[in-house]
Amino acid sequence: MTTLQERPYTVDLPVPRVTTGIADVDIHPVPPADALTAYLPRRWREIVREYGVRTTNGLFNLGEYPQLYGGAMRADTWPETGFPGSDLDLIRKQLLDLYDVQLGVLQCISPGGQALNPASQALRPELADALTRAVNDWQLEHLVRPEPRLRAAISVAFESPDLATAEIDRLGSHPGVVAVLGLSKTRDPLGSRRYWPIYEAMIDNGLPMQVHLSQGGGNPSTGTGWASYHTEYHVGQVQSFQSQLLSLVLSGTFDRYPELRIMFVEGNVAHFVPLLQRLDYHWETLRSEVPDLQRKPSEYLADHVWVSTQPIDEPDKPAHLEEYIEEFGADNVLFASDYPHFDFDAPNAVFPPSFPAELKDKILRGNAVRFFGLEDGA
Amino acid sequence: MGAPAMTTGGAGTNRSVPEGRRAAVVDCDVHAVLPSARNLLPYLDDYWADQLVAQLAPYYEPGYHPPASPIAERPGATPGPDGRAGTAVDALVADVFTDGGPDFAVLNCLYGVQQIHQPRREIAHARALNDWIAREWLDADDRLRASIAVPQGTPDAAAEEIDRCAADGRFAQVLLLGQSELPYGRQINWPIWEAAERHGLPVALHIGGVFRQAPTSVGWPSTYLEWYVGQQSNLEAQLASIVSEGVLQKFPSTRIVVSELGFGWVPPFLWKFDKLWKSYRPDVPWLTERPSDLIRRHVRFTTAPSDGFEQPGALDRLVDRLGSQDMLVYSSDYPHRHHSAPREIENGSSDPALIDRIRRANAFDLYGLSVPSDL
Repeated sequence: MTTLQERPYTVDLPVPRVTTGIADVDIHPVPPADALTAYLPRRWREIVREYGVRTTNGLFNLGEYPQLYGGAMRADTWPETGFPGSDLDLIRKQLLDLYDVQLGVLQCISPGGQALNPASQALRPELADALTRAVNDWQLEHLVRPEPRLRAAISVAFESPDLATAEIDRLGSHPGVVAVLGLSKTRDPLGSRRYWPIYEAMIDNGLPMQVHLSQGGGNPSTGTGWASYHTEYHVGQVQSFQSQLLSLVLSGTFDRYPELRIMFVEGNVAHFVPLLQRLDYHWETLRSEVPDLQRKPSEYLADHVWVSTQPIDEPDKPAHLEEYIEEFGADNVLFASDYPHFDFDAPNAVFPPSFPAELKDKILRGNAVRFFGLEDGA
Repeated sequence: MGAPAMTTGGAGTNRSVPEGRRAAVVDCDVHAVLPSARNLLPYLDDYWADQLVAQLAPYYEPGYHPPASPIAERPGATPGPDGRAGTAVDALVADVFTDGGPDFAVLNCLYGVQQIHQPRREIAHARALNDWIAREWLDADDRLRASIAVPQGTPDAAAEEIDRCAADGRFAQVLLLGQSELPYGRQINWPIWEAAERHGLPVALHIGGVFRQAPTSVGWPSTYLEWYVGQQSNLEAQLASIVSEGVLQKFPSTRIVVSELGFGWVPPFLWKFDKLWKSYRPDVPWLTERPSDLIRRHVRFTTAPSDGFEQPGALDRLVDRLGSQDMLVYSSDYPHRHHSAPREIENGSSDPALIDRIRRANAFDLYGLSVPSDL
C-alpha cells in the first residue's frame, strides 16, 4: 500500500460528464476494518489504540444519539463482511449502475462504521488532522481511482483552520476532489472569522464546501439544551443549518468571499424559505446593525448557497414541495440519495408524480453540472 | 359581523360564547416594562428587599436591546415618565386600546427574573414581579390581562407560583422563555405543565432565553439580528421536545402560545416531524397520532412580528400550508418596533373570516374572553 501523505498528485482522471445520467451529492463510504490504519502514521496508530479518539460527546465510537435500527442502513446494503458503504461493487450495483449516477460525491462521515463519529471531530487537532488525511487518502485510492464516477468531498480538521487549510492545499488540485466536507455542528457558527482561512483555501483551490448534517461539535444538540429522543434529535437537524445560514449571511462572509460556494447536505429545503423571508423582514428594521452587508440577505443565496433534496420534504399536499423549491431557487437545489442509509431517496421514486419534468431535470443533472463546473467536461 | 361558530379545534376547550356576548378581540402580546428594580421593593419580603438594596438594585435587563433603544420602541409609542415606552400604565393603555383596537390585551413583562442564577432569588423576584403587575397594572384597567412570570429554573416553585397567581383570574397564561436550560418537554419541567393544565391556563413560549448555553446549536450568534431571527430554531426544538416527551398525552388540555417568534417556519417543521415520526414510531410509542395533528390542536402563534406575511396572498398561502385556520392569534408586540404595523397582517389575506378568527375566535379558544355583543 502506498502512503500518499506527502506526495503531490499526478493522477490522471477525466472530468466527470453528467449527460444522460444524474449526479448524487451524498454517498457515504465506510472504510473496511483496519483500512485506515495503513494510512495513519505509527505514532497516531498507537495513540488511537491506547487512548482512543476523544471527542466532545464523551463516548468512544458512538454518536450522542445512536442510530435506532440496523445502524440506520438500508437492510439490503450490508455486504457479506463489513459495513454498508465499504464494498465498491455493491455501491456500483445498487447505486451507480442502477440509476446511472455519473457523478457521485463521497462524504465519509463515519470512518469507524455505523455511528456519526467523524474523524474531523477528534478533539486533539493533530489527531483530527492525521485521521482526516487517512480518510482522504483511503477514499481516493480505493474508491475514486478504480471508479471515477465517484469523487470525494475531503474531510478536514475543521476546528483547526491552519491544519484544515494545509490539507485543502495538499489535495485541492487532485482531480478526484470536488469539494471540502464540512459538518453542520460546529464549535462556532460558520460565519466566524476563525473559519475564514478555510474558505480562502477552498477558493484558492476552486472548491466548494458541502456541509453535511452531523452530531457532536461541542454544543448541545439544540440551542435550548439536549434533546432526549432520537426522533427529536433528528427533527432538530435542520435547526443547525438554519443557524449556519444566518451566520454566513450576517457575518459578511459572502461579501468577503464572493466566490465562496456552500452546499447544505441532508438539511432539507423548504424550511430555508420562511427563514430567509423572516431574515429579510427583520433586516429591514435592524440593518443599521449590519451596515457593511452589501445585499439584502436573501439575495446572497443564488450565488452562494445550494441545498440537496434528501430527505425530501413530504408536505401533505405534494404541490407544496415544488412551490418551496421554486421559492428557494430552483437553480440551487441538487439531488442526494444518502446511500446506503435507510432514508435513501431513489431518484426515480422520490419526486411526486405531479413534479414538473424540467425542474426534476435541473435537480438531478443541470444544477450539478453548473455547481461542479462540468459544462466544458472534456 | 356576527361571531363565527366557536367549534375550533383547540385542545381541552369546550367553551362557547355566552348569550348576548361576542368573542373579544385580544392583543395576545403586549409588553409592560419594569422601570427599575426598586419598583419591586414593596413586593419583596424584608430579606430580599435588603438583599436588593445591598446589591445596589441590579436591574436584570435582558440583553435583547438597550432600554429605550429605537428598536425597542415603535415610532409613536408614548414614553413613560422615565422616557421609556411601556413603563407607565396610562400611556400603554392609551396606545394599545386605540379606536378599532383590542378589547383585551395580555401583558408579557420580560424583566429578566429567569436569568437570575440564584434559584431562591429567582423565585422571590418572579413573585414580586407578578404582584407588581397585579397591583400597578391589572388594578388600573380591567381590559388588561397578564402572563405569570415563573421561576422556570425550579419547576416545583414555578408550579407554586402558578397556583398562587391563578387565584387572581386576571392572569391569563403562564410565561416561559423560548430558550431554557433544559427543553420544556423534559420530565423535570412537568410540574409547570401540570399546574397550567390544572388552572386551564395556556402557556406562552415567548422569545427570550436564559443563556445558560449558546442560544444556537452551533455556538453564539454575533448580532441581535442573528440572535432574534434565529430563535425560531429553538421553538422548533421546544415543540419537538414537548411532543416527543409526551407532554400532550400526559396533560391533554395543554395549550401553547408561541409568542413573538414568527410562524412561517411551522409548515416545513411539521412535515419533517411527521416524516421522522413515521420512521421512528417505536422510539416514541406514546405518540399515537401525527405530531402535526397534535401541534395543530395544541399550539397557537401570535401574529407580530409578521415576518412579511402581510404581502397580499401570503397569509392565505401560509394557512393552506399549515392546514389549519386555528393556529394564529393576533398580537401587536407593543411597543417593539417592526417593519410593518401590527394590523397590516390583515393585508395578507383576502378572507375576512380568517382575519376575524385570528382576532377573536382563536383567542377565545385560548382565553375565553368575551364582551357584550353590542360593544
